Amino acid sequence: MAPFPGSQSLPRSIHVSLESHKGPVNVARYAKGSAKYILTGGQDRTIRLWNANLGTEIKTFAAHGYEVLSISVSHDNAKFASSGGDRSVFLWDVATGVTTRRIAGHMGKIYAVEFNEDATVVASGSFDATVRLWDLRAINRQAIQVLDEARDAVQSIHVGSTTIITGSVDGHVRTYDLRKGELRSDYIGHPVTSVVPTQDNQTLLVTTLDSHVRLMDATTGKMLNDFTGHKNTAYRCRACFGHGEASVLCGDENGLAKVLPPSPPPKAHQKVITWTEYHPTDANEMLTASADGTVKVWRHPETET
Amino acid sequence: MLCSSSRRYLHLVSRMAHPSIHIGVIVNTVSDRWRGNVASRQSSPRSIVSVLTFIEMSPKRKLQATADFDEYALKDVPGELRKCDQNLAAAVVLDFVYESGFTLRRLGKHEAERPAFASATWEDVATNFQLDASIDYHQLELFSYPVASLPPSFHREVMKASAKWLDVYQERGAHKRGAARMRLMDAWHVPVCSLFKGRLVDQPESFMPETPETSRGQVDHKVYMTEGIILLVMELKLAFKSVQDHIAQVLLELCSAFEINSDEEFKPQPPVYAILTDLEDFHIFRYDGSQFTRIKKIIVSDESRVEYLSGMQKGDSAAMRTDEILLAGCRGWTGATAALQSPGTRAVTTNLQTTTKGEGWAPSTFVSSRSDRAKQKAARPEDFMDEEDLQELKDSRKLVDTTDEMNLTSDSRGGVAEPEQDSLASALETTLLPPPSDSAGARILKKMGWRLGQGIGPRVSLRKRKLQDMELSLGGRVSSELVNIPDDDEEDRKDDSHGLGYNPGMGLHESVGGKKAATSAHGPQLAAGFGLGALNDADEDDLDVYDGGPTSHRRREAYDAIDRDEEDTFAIGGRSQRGKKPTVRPASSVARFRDGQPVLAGFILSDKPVSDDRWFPLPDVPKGWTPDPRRVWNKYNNKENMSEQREPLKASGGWDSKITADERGAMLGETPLPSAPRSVFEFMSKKDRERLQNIAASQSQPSFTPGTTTHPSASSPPETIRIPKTEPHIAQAALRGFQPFAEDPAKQSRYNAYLQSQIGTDAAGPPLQPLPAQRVDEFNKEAEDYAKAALLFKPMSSAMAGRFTSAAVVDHGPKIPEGLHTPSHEDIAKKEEEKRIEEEENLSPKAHAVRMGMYGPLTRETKPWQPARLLCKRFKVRDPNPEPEMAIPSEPAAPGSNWQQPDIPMASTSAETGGEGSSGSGSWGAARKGPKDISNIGLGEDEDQGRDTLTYERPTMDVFKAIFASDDEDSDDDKGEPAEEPPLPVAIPMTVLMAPSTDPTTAVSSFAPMDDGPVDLSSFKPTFIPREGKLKKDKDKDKDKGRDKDKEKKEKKKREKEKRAVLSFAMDEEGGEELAPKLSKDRPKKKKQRKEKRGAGDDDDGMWVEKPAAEAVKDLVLPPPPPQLLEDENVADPGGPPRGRKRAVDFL
Repeated sequence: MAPFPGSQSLPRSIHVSLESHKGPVNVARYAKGSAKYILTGGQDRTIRLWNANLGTEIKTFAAHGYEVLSISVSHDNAKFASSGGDRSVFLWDVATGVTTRRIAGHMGKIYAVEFNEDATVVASGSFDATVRLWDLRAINRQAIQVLDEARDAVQSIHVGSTTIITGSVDGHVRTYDLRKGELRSDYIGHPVTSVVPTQDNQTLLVTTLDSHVRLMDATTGKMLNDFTGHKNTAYRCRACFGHGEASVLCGDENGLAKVLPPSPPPKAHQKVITWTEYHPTDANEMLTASADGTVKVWRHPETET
Repeated sequence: MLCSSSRRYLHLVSRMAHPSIHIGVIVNTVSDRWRGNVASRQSSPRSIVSVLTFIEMSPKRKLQATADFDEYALKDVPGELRKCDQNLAAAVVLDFVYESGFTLRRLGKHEAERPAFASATWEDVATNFQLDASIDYHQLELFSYPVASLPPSFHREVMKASAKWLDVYQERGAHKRGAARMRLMDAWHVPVCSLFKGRLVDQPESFMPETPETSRGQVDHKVYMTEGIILLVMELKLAFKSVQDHIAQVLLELCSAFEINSDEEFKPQPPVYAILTDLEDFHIFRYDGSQFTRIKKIIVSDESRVEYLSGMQKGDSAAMRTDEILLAGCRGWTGATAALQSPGTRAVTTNLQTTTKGEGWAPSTFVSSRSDRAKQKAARPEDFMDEEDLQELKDSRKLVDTTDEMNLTSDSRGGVAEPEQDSLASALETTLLPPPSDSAGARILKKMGWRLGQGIGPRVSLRKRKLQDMELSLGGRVSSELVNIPDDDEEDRKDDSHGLGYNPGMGLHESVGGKKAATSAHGPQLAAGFGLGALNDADEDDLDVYDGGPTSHRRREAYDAIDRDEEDTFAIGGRSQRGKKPTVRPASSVARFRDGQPVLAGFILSDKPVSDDRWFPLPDVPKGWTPDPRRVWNKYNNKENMSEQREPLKASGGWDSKITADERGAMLGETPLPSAPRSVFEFMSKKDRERLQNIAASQSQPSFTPGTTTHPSASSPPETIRIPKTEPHIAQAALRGFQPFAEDPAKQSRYNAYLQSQIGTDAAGPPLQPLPAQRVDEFNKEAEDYAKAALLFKPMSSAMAGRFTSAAVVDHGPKIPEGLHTPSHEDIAKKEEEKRIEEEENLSPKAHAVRMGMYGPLTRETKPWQPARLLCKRFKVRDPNPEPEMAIPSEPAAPGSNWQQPDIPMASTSAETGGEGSSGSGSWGAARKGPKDISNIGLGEDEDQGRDTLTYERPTMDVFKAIFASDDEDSDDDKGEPAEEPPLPVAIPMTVLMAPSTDPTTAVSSFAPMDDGPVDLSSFKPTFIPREGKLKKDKDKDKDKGRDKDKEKKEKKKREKEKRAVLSFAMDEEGGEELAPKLSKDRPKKKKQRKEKRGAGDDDDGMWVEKPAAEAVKDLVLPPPPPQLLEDENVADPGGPPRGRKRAVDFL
């Protein structure tokens, strides 16, 4: 692992607070590339595009009939996919703000949606305990493949270059290795709400509903580290790595953004933090989304100036 | 000018229902401006010179201009006025309006000049009608009306209906408004009215035309109409405040109604009737145009509902009168209509059903009213309404939906109108036929169960029906004698709800099939069933098995007779002949008991007495005798010297002649048979018996005197302790066997005691005794239970019983605490703890590992997974398990032993995947782990090359021998498949050789013999190897079933080639056999190698040519660099395969 460039303290001051959502914010994602923008989706059935620096709302994407639970931005930032209670995946054109495609097929609400690297495939994980892989090149109503190994709702998906990693409420993290043609399922023992791999795909950060965040070795399935101290028993609180993967950041149901290894947690939100994400490139920035309807962008005070 | 003088003539004529239109006014000679014929009317008897109409938007707003007048008014101005110069008329009216400041309110004031209906007083009206105002209405003469009648059944139904209506609308006392009365009256009048196809119009707002005596007013409640003709006006009052004034009002209404009817210009015009009622008093009046007449007041008591109903319906009742009047009115009108129509232009049927009237307003042509005043019409509101208004009015008047025609009787009535038909007859016809349309009455009747074709009222027998017909046609009472109906006609209809074949009144005796009384003379009764023609003889099959016999028949007649009586009671107006009716009742039905009492209807006197008991006359009892049974018994005692015990028995039973076998035996001195002991006591030890006797004695003492103890009845009170007997051996067994009362130790101990007492040994315990608080009968029952239990639960046999011991603890299931129970915290905690422990125990090893935090191999599960091809394509990843076209070539290749890699986990996965075919050979195990080592260079990225070779385990040679030793030929065709692939170019790397070989010598040796063999095709003997190769190939084939068609195609090609080769092989078959055992050792290796070679694919003689998996290699993106290959070859070279390969090539 790289030396710890992020060993310095995490961004602690609120840079901007994005507060247009009328209900809990379920997901907040940085755009790809230089990640100047943030996409947030919430219970109010809208997806909003923000300028992370200025904190201004650029656009509202409203087409969902139910809450928005997941967003995935394509590599070229031209489109993004979203999903939620509608039981279908919506593909959006960012510029025009309309849905280009609505992919129906799931039987339940879709908790997670994720593009692959070049946005030719979108994977969606649903309450119906399946992951469906949809081809975006061809307009085909049928999914390319249905991964139905999960026994319970699929809460989290990560699509790597050759792997698809899913986290399910049945307590398993499943790694579908396309190259080997192999499925490795690691039993975590508690409902898995998010799975985030490190850059090198060697380890996985697994958030479970027993208030643990575990760092698992992707190749052997061994647990490398176990982070506790926060409370997460009911909601999906996505954890993420800090910059340079030196630290782990996770949300707390009491609204505390915990940094693990522990340091005094700031009271970031009034309600459960549903999403944390670190800026993909900028070490000084991260965001937290919360059920209190706000998304906050945090920066180091010094970079603020 | 106009003003003051003209006001005197102003009269409010009417107010229209139309809200925005107010028709006012006017006027006799308005002024001197009014000229000509208008002025001339001043002298007309009615003193109305003309009628002007104008329209006022609102009472306060005056007409603005002439234009308004033109627009609104002129088109509606009655004909007379229109005849005048319109401008003049307009000017007059406007002038009038302007100058008088005419408003509705003012008109209202003028209205008072002539009484409206509501404000009529007896004095005024009486004066107007030349009646004596000082005396009341009784001065009116009585009028007579024809006594008519409707079928009693009809009345019955109406009565039922009205009772229901009363349920809904409540009795008179509950009403708040007079209008509510109407609803109640409906119950009586709607059915009747519907018979005449009348219409009930209940529109308080509707106007009646003015008459000289009254201004236009409204009839408060009711108008009976028949297509525009008013038959009957009803005035309903909540209570009579002033009867005289109410009557005055009714008279006015009558007058007005008469006026309306005069539109049709009947000659002579039939009278109009009116009813004034508060539902208690009914006043009925008639007006024939000149004279008011009345009938006697009818008073209906409403003390109770029953009284009220009967008052309405029975005898001289209100409803009856109304009906009669309606009937009379209808007759009058039908007659009048017929008379009017005879040259008729309009097609009006005699029964008025299709009479239409007043289609829109058409201006009458002016005729001098002087010449025909009789025709003088009062303007009616309808005259001033346009089409739409008229339609609206019409619609609103329809209480009864005329569109909803039943239309079922249209056949009988059809369009064939018979104008010459007697109006009375037709009216009557209408009463008898069901109403043609689904009028309210019909609907009510239908609701009450009436069906078309049934007639009104309850089902009527033919006799009844004919009777009614005759009555109606003769208009009077007809004795039932006149009606001649064969009896058998009448009995057909089944209108009860009994089962088929059941004859009501059939006694139990007969229905059970008891003795029938003398059967009827007609011989067997036939079943009333299907398929029995008149000519058929009565077979046995046709006999009515359910026939109840003639008695029931008789009974039925009796019932019918009763029915008929009932019918007669409903005759209209009472029947004097009722008694005269001959009874069909047979004489036998009045049978009497012996004591003279008549037998109840439905019962038959039996000939035979109930039983044959013999009765003996009682002996004369001497005076002063008192019964003392003891005497008798003592006497017996003395006489027969019998034991005292038995004596009472005999005496009580009275069987002196009957001696039991035992007794007889005892008498004869026989030794008693070893019969079962009869008494409990006999099983008791002497001591016990004594004790028991003591107890019994002590118990019985208080209740019995010593003297009476010998008395049998006294010594056997109902509550004796009876301990049922159980056979000793059963008791013994039961004692050892199952313990039925184990859950109740006390009871069990008692049970045991009982059993022990029953064993009868001296060692047994004391006999069972009642508990202190136990009643004797309870004890008896308990003992009985014990006896039963002993019988039930004794083991099958004692031998069997000895093998079992009763369990120390009897499981009774969970113990349930009694009553409401709240588990304590400890309980809950304990339970949870248990649950947790149990859960923990049940944990899977995986979960257990998780619990222990031992993530890793224990929690990891690895399974093969086949990503979809498209997915691989999209992810730009090679298909990990390539499609079969690659797998096939690899099949026959024989793996070299040197390919076994010690990578165990990999092996396990490949064991699953390998079967599906992997391409070629290669050290895929090494390739799997990150960077490739030198050994797998040349395999490209195909990690799975040769996977199957690793998993293949050769069966022992014996197996092959056993299977293949004898027959070789059977599957020759199949063999060749893999072998006949085209040779590969030499350049293709030879992975077999390249791979690091753990046992190079074997590899070499395996190749050696082949290589040494002759190259010549004809002499070459390749035979044995294919067998095993084939075996393996067959296996593979099985696995590969279902692969692509491409493969099949290829195979076909191959087969073609193969065939050639096979031919050649066949020649050498025999030799091959001989060789087989010798080569057996080497073969497997060769085979494996070959398999690998064949993986390369396309060579015809793949078996002999060592080649790597060609296809797989071909697919590679990057062809393996030649130099490396060379190196590899060099490494592997010592084994000699290169030679072999070369030779194979040569061989081709």
